[in-house]
Amino acid sequence: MVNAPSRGIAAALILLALALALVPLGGDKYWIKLVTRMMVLGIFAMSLDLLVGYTGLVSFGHAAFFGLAGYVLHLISPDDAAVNMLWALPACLAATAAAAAVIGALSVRTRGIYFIMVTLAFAQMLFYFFHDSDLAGGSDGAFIYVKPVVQLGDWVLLDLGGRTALYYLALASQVVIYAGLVVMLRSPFGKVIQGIKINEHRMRALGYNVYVYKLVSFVIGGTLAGYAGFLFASIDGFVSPELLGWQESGIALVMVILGGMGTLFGPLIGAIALLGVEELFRDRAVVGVMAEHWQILMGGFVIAVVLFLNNGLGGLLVRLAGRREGER
Amino acid sequence: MAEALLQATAVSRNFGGLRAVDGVSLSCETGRVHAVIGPNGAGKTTLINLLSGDLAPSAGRITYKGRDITGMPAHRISRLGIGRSYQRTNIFPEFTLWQNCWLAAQSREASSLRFVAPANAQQSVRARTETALSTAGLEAKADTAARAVSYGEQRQLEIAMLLAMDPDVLLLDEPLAGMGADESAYVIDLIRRVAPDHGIVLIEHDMDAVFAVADTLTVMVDGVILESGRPDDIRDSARVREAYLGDELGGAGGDGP
Repeated sequence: MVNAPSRGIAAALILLALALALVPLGGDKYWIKLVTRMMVLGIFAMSLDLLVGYTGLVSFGHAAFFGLAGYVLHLISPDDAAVNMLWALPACLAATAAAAAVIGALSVRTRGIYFIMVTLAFAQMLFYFFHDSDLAGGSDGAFIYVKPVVQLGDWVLLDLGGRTALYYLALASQVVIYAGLVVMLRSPFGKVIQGIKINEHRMRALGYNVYVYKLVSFVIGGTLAGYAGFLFASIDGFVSPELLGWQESGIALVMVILGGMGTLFGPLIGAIALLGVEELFRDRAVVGVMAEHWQILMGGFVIAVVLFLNNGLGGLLVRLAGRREGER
Repeated sequence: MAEALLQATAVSRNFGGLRAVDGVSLSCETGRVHAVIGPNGAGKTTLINLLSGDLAPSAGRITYKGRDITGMPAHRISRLGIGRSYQRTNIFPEFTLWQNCWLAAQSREASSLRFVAPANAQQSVRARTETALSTAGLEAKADTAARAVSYGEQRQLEIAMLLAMDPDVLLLDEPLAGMGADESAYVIDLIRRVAPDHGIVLIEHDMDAVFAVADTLTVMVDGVILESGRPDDIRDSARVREAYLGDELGGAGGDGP
């Protein structure tokens, strides 16, 4: 139950946030977009860590909520005008929360491998729904031609069509969501879900209705994934069924494992590492002809991290920085 | 006679073809310790599991304060005021002793769907946590991870968690198992101290402990009650001696070491 980051970790995270804040000053469009994607996927992975690392729910269908929010954004965006985030974002979040409530209500009753399979099955159902229907371009995907804006009257406060604006929104979201989850994990609810992860049977004997707590955690995690999906769809202005597919869910799990389960900040680093290393391995100047086969190198990298680092990059950082002891 | 807090009437539990508990009736009253003894496999732990709701009875009826709780899920039975400890240590190893007890104390709150204020902010829960730790003699290790304390201390933690739940009925499943002599003595004394305000069902193999604290003694063999009554009567029962107690009872009855 050591959730509050130790001083060392907190310092490292502040440095990381400052470094991220400086990236757009370089002005390189490619980098701004790449790092935006890292941060947004980091939020997605962090929302999964709430389930995997803190509640003991290993979901293999987390992309369902990520992709669904993107699709809802597409469906409510007019082709020739920007949708106002002030109502579009709540609409997307409400849709993902509702989907998470339904899927969660049916799946958190199961455990272990069955939970993995049920969440996967639900996500694949959504995948095929958007893949096979004409609702939003089917397997080709669909565009969000004009990206969302935050607008009060005629006054546009924020336009996600601007690269830098979206970048800083993603960075601010990371910081706020991370801080919010740290607070939540120290609250009674946070302690209870962590108790469930460690010893569900004992929690039941103590009088906790574990089903309710697992479901609420699942809905929170799903809704945050929806928020990440909303931002992700705004990066390229494009949604496709792949956003809901099992590969996307798998990538989120890899980011969580790479970054360190149950560390919360780890998945943020995991997302940066996964996308950063991919860039590296696709660069002919760095890896030569292997750039054609970068997935092989990536596989080796993930295996090396899992084998040699106890609980990923975040786990390494925790050991280097030391834990905060004696927290009540 | 004291009010019957918890009453099991002819409860049975089958596992496939095996009848682990067969028509057992047992009652538990405030201020009294009802000990259940019997050889391994007699169905004692299954009986506790039935009373706590971990298992639903195949037949029979269980009432608590006059209310039928047969087949109710474990978490609801727990919240009504029936707490249990486990024969095999069943704690949260990664958490400190304080946090283990806090989870037990917090479970008595109406809801833990509270997301903002820190868990340790609520005074009443904190007080229950700390009282339980000190009653069980663990306050010195409050901030040590449960996995890092001795086995005996983990057993004491089981009891501390039980007390933090502030139940009316304590179901103790071999609380002394694996404890050293000093720890055992401490826990026996602890049971005596809390007995006046609680109804206690105690499963224990340590006969000295059983005869030291029990007001009522039930002997189970092969899922059925062989005999039930005052400890002295049971000690003198030829049937019980023959079926189960044997030398063990001789040792307990004499001036053993």
